[in-house]
Amino acid sequence: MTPSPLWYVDRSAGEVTLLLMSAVAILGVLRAALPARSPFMVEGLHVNLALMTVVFGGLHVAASILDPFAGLGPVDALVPFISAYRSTWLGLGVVAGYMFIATILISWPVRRFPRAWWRWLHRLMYAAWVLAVLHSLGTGSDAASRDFLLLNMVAVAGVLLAFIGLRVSEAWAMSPRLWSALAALALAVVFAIAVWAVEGPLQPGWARAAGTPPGLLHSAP
Amino acid sequence: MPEAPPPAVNQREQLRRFTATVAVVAAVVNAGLFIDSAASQAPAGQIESAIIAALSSLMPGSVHPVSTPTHAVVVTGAS
Repeated sequence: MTPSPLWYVDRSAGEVTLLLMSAVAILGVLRAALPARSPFMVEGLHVNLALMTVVFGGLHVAASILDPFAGLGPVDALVPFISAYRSTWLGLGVVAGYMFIATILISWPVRRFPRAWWRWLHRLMYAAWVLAVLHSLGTGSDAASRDFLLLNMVAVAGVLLAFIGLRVSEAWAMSPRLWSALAALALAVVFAIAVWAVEGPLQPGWARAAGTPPGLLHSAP
Repeated sequence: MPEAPPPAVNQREQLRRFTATVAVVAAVVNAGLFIDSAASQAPAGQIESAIIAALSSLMPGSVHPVSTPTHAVVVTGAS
């Protein structure tokens, strides 16, 4: 069986979703670190791009369900870790999607929790973003493609630089120990993802190891 | 001389423009990655078919497959 155009729409929309999600994270970090700098613009873009992420994420999910190649159905898109196609890595994407939607629902159009609660719940976005990166590399048939890989690296480097360069450097003086630990954690997570990517998704034979059904192995990288 | 719009209106308009620009860039990147993804797996002829099929599904009737003549076209001289 050869992939259909929807299969390629699924893959391209998935990558754009990750890029937009990264831009949303960077704008969120910018808003938190420099609250006085163009708050209307930064917050407005943060919200608008989050909603745009939902649109591209919806296209990504819809294309994956409608496309016959991987045999995914609505249940695979709703219930994590049950699909026959790359179950673990696809499941991480489903969980990331739920976390992202939850982060939006508690914030838009009005904040639904007391400020302190909202702030911690909003930080779910970082976990959702890490899961989305893992999903992109683990499920993504294009993980080893030069352009996709380059865009993934730009997205990860952008979020990491924004977090350490803006958020950590701004808040460090208030609590050096906490923010040093958070910076170290962020670097460790990115380093671990890079090592795993080199050892896993970028190696030949990843499709089989990731759980691609045998019938699709001849056409999946 | 017309009055300058208040800053809030300017910022709103600027935000609208930025958002629209990002949406266009995202759509262009999406199209580029679609072609990149298809090109990495499909033989040359199939890429064009995939693009045409995708465009047709979005805008039915807007594009038609390029037909290749099955018979050689015989050109005769003017009589």
